[in-house]
Amino acid sequence: MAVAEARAPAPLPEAAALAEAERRELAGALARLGPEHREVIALRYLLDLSEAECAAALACRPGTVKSRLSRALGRLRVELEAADA
Amino acid sequence: MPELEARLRALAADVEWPPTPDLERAVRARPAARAPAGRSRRRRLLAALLAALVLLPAAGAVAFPRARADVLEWLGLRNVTVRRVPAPPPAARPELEADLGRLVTLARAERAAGFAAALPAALGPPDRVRLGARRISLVYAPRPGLPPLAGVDAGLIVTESRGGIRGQYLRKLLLGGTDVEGSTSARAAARSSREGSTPTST
Repeated sequence: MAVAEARAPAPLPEAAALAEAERRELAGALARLGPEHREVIALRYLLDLSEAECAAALACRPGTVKSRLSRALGRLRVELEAADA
Repeated sequence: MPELEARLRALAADVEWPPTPDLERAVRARPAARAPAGRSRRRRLLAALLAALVLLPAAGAVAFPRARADVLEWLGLRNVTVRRVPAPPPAARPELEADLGRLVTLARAERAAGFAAALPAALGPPDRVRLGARRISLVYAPRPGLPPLAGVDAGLIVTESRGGIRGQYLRKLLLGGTDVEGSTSARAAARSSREGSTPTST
């Protein structure tokens, strides 16, 4: 009896290269952020902490995390657009 | 989910996380050291924060090898070398050394204690001198040949007292692991013979 093996198709070389370029661009933009903005983005998205957990880790209120995160994302968008220009 | 947030989460997926340590066994092994619940949670979150600071450059280094230097720089780690050791060195406890007495100059210690300190010929003058009750402690900083002592920022401590205290009595006053051995120096012996006393060093 033959057993079919499901395997995710390997990405095309050009797609993989584009994805790698996008990741590099994003890391570069993160690198240009201030430490306060990088920190909150790292906690929220890279470590996947909730806003309450971010607040406890940063010793601030959840509202502060929300506003700081919003400013950090805004700054990150500006950096990405500047890189594209 | 906004596109930028999705890209950030995807970036996290590219991070090669280190294996999770066996925390349960470690915690069970030391129940007495368990902190109160509030502190425990705070510590966990602090650990998460530290992990973020440590793992973020790891993410950059893994996904973007050529950006490694930049990532280290934005975390202020460009000139930091990370070394893995079996166990961290014991933290120095300044109060242990302070128990030996107050910091003074060698000359002042000798005047106050009433005898000339015998200096180890190979080491010369100590880095610090502490004066206790009629005893002088010579503190030498760690250096090649003098590895750090446990709990103190020193490679060698020589405590000298005037009088005829025998080694076995002195041992009763000391913590385990401290050696007691008699020694003499030309300088101290000459002076002590004039004054009819015997210098004792530990």
